[in-house]
Amino acid sequence: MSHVDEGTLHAYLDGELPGAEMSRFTAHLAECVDCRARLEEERALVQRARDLLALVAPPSSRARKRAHPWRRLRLPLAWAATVALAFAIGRYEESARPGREVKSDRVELPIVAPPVVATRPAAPHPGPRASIPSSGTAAQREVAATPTAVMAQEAVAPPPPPPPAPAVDLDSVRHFLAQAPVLLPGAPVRRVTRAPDGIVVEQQLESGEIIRLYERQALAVQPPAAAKAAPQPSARRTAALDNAAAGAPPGGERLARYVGSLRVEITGPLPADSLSKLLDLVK
Amino acid sequence: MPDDLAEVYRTTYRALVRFLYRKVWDADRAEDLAQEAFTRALERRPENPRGWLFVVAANMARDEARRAARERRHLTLLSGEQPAAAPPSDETLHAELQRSRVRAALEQLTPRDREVLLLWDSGLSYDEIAEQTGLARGAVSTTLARARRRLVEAYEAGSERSHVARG
Repeated sequence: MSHVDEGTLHAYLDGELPGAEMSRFTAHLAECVDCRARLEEERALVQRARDLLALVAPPSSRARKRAHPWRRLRLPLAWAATVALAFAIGRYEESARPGREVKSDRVELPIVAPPVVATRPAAPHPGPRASIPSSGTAAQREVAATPTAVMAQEAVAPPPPPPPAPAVDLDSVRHFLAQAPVLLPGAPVRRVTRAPDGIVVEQQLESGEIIRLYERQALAVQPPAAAKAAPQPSARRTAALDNAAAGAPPGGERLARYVGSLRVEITGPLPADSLSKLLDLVK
Repeated sequence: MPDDLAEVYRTTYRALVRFLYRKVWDADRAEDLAQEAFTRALERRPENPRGWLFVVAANMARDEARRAARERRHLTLLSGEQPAAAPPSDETLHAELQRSRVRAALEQLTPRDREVLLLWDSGLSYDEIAEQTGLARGAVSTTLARARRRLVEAYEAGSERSHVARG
């Protein structure tokens, strides 16, 4: 047998040499010093190529979740968004029924729940979510969660079921916003409450965190300086951070954007970049 | 999911993600595409699901590359909005540099050499690679040998260039 070719050496090293060729190959190898030396060279080459390819293996999901927690919120399938919207509208309509008799002579809606976002306590919060006593309400837990605590939440039990929802009805929402509320697609709506000049929609993410969308008519808001300078403020983020004005807890982020004629602010126990991505999905 | 496809999912999913990652260079996108490929397999019930999945994945990666090229301009615009990250450590920088050199070396291979190398590294046999690429089985081993050699040579040439550049 003449010297073996490169392909045969690689097929042998890959365990892919057919049986018939195998016996000829091993017989030749036993008596050919050159081919044995080449085999060792090719073995090193195969190993080197494998090592190089291992350097470009995809990072593990776990590492990526740490780096980009918002990716846990897999972009929803269209049907999931539809289900969530149907659910949300169902909730509004259901809660609208008992209030209908007073609707005609109601000019100003009563505030049926504390405006969660606007009245966040400015006092220092007691600590990460895991250390909150179980008697605390869901809302208190959300306020207490800090971005650093979020990282440690993977092992924490999901939040308890929502408290009885003092939801506002669909007519009220329309009254205050002059349109239907905007929502984060695919995330179930936990409740809708009144705020002084708008509404607060709470939605639960797949990962368990609750985010709040504080929605009001853009005309009712004094546009921030950035918006004044912008030619088309309706489609771009106008105020990246206005924690001080909102009285958000230290470390909590509050991002705002105009969606059509609504000003929408988002808060939740997530890092700013995650909130920003979520805010971009709101429609 | 039918049993056979469930078994293919168990044994092939990670390999498919790895294969796709080295084409689109985005781990999340690679996972999305792999899931999409399995979804299509559920609908089509191909006879040889494993080979079929890699064919579909390769096509999706090609479409993805075209789409990415179209969107590159927008991404460039958006990149200015990325939040500032902490400065990376020396180890991170070194690893990142090595990865980018391997990626550059891979991209210097001919499409055929690269495809065969990536399919082998994803766990496909010579027979499966031959079936997927249309090569004769005997040509798979010579293609693989050439691809490995060129990958290593291109990587080392890239490393040398950067050492020279740094002086």
